[in-house]
Amino acid sequence: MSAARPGPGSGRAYRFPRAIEGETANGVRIIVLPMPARPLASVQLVLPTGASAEPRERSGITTALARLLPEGGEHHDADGLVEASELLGAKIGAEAGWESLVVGATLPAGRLAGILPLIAEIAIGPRLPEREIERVKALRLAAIDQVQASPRARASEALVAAIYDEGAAYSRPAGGTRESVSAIDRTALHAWHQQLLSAGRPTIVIAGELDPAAAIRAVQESPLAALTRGSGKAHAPADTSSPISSERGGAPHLLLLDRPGSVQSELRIGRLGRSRLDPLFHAALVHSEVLGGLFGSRLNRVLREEKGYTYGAAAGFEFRRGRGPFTARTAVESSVTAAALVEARRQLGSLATDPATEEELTAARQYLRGTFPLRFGTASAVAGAVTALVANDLAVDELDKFQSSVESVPAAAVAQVAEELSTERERIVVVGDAASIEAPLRDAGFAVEVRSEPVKGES
Amino acid sequence: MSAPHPIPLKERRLSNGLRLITVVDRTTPTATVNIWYHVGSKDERVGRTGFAHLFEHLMFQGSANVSKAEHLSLIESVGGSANATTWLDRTNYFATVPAEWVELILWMEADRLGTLLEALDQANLDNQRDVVKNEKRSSYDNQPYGTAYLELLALAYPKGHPYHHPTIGSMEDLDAASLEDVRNFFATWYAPNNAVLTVVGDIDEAEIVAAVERHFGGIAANPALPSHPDLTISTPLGGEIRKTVKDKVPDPRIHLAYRAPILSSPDLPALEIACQILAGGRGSRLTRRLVRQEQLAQDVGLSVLPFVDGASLVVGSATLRPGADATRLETLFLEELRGLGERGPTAVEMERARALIESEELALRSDPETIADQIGMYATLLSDPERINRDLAIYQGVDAAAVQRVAQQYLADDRVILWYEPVEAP
Repeated sequence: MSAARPGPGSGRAYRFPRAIEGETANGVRIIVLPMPARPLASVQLVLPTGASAEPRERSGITTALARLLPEGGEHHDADGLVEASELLGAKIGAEAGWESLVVGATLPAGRLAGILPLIAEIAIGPRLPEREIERVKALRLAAIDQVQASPRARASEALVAAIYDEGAAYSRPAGGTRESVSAIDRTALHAWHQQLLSAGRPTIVIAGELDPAAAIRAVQESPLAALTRGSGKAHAPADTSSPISSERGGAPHLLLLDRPGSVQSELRIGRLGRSRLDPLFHAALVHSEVLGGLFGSRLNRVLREEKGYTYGAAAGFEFRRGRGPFTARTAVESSVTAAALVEARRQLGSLATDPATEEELTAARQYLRGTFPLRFGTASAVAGAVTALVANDLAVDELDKFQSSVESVPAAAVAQVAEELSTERERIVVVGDAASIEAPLRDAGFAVEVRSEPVKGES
Repeated sequence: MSAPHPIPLKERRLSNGLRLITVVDRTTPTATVNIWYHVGSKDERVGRTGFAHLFEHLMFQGSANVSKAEHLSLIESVGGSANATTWLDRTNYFATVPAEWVELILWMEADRLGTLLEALDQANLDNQRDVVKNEKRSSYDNQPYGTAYLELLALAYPKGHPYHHPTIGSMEDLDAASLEDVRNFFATWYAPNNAVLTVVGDIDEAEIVAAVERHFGGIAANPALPSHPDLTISTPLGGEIRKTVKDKVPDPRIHLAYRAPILSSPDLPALEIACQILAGGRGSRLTRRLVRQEQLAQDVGLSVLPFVDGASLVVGSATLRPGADATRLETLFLEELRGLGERGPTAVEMERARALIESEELALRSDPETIADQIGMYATLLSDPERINRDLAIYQGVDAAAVQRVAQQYLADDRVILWYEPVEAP
């Protein structure tokens, strides 16, 4: 065994698949990303409106619609659709995001032409059967109870509700609230579906081992050609509510959600974050790795590897079209709740007073650069990344520059991200056993507001 | 649709018994290093449960030339990611890095295999013991339904059987683990002749072989490698075992477990296809009946947990819809399982299952980390790494009669039925 560490050998550069574009006669955009040796292809139709555009009383309707699209269309009922797609070796489905509704499938590339009519069928003319609407609503209501029972999910939902103003879409779970989901009916779903089809420009993204010209032609000749370019506004205004606060001093407010008998406390600390469109996007990524992304990040190193308080601690920005949340999260043994929270806040604040070292910055930049290709092994990962670019109105070659962008993030930009984050209002949520942790939290200087456990069916 | 190209794997054995398997795959400029040790929670002593997994954590705490907690940071700082898992039969460690850094990973794996004990101390053990106890709380104790798998193992295998206790162990046993235990465990099981090293990616095969010889060649084999405990157990459970657990859960959930054929059995692929037909996706029998038609369940699942000897498990679950009838959910769930055994799958169900399996096989080939891990599994547990290239033909060769027969034989009345119910009446 040698004590000398091997240095790097020779390696090749990575290239994100190059996008080749086309369009249908109606002006719907087609983006093909050829990937040699990826015979399992991915097709995704992006309708560029999502949950962030929902009015408050319709919260969750995009998610409900996504669940209902596979319930059949003009030619197939739900069983017929799943049978037809599985015979192609395809899994077909729809997913709602904050900025989009995506209908897609993965399947062997040679069978691409077979799946396009099925995607068109459910995207353009879904059946939306009454019975299934009621089932999807009931399952969402049951899922809300499951969230309340899960300390992890309950803490995360309470935190975003605390970061954003009540009126902001981002303050709510994307799946909707008990009140808004209960009010969804077929008329509302149908109207929302029509609005999604007519707002903005649909895009079809295809990745995998296929000939781009043939793939573009297959879309042009498929029923997807019936989609039209919308005239309406694709997006609600970017959601950046929650005012920047100048609160300084005083006891930090802490919302304690009681979970009697809990053997751990779920800790969440959050602030208003940054947009995906922010010019400091890459700097914010580096910032998050140093603070709470890398295994050796300040948060994880201290809370896990030095103190043994937790199995893991993490922090980072969630990037959306509007300003998504910045959150720090960990679960600690109940008896160390106050100590762990004090330590977590100390580490989270440390970048403002104790800037990232060159060693930390290099590790973060290298990690982001080196793991970039690992994220794109499959065609569906590549198609999904391009889908996200499209939904955020970013250029399709934006990811080509990712590696050089993160590599060249300057220390000053990371410091700026830290400084600006520190001026946002801090929110703290703890889910745990109030009987044992409330007093220690007060003793540690927090202004604790206790909320008791929700009764099932009300939250 | 033509069959996918075989994965071109090359296998060799060092003089100390280390098996090395290489696969050149140039689709991305990365390399995956994956090492399987044939030791898992089945090899733990009474009173020391959870130890194989605790030990896995200590493998990241430094060795002669790597300082505490540096292992993962070093990999991240060259642009890679890494992790490890412990299970009943085995422990695996894996890292993927830009291809130019592959030798660093080989060197780090060799350093901890050769010199772990030089860096081990009480402080590291105490710290990781706390981390693992918090992992148990986070992943099991503090999650709704989180203890179900611990309960299922304990019910499906009798006390004293090596699969009876879970990999995460018990708090008491974790507290009891000493430095002496760690040293003995390492000396017993962490030897090159108990390991399979698989390297997949944009690599030069000759360079990898030379680097592995250079870094691992000097590590001594353990000539007294013990045999694994006797796992012999009858496949039928010998009746029905029932238990109800009151927990902080919003809705009742039923869990099922059946003893099933072992990893090497030709019946296992047929049973996996049976599970696919019963619970794989929106068009499966259980989803259609329980979730969609009868509206009794929020979700359903059924899958195989393959083990190397004795008996594997088929585990299933379904969460009751609020207000639905739990007894009826159980009755219809069991009725569907029985129905597949009585009438077998339809021709269309078989055709759909085959097409999905083919897609899964293509997906596997898109992911060097999964390729490496499957090869490590087949080499370690079946001494047959080439099995990865026969899998598709094996699954495609399963016919409807075989699916019906295994459903009838294994998904019968010998089973564990475990209900989770809310502590308070809803």
